[in-house]
Amino acid sequence: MKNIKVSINSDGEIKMEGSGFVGTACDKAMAALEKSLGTQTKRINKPEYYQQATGSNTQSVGGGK
Amino acid sequence: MSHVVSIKTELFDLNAAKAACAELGLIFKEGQKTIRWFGEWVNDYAADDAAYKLGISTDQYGKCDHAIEVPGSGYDIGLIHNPKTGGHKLYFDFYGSNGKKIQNAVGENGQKLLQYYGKHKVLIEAKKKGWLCSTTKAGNGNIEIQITNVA
Repeated sequence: MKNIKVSINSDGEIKMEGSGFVGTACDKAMAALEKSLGTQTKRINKPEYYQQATGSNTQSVGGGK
Repeated sequence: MSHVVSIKTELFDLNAAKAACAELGLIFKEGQKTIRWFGEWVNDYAADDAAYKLGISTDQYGKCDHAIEVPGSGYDIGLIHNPKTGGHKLYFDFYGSNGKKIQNAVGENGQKLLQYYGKHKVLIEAKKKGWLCSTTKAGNGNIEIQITNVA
């Protein structure tokens, strides 16, 4: 299940966190949303992002064991 | 897996701005070219958040491309189109009881209006894509939107 959690704080700052994506698929899903919202000022990729990008574990969509 | 991004919100979508105003009980006045304010620049405010330090020149004070009326206040919020970005900058006169009523409605610098604008912008964009949204208000004042059915 691919989900995006959006959190908007009282300063109007928006954070997005994707789950259930494989590697850079998360980027693709959120890129349009980010673009329409305004200027991106900060991005943090968690270590899992880089692990997933290599396809090195079992968290692939539809193929997990 | 997950990753986190942070975006500084600007007002690019007037429909989202209108929806935010409606939720906050404010009146969006599309195409209104002036706002009510003190009425004269007397060079008495120069802090970092002064509008003229944020891209709105003092001779633009009182002018706008759209306005927002805050019920109960004698002053308004102005939206000025920024040709460099295509977005709209917000500004208002916060002085006195009229300004205080605006701050109470939208936050000290309009942050609350930006927050609700961001909410409605996300909802509009998600709907276009056929994504499903569930919105909640967290205890810390954050607005949380859980988007499911992401293709």
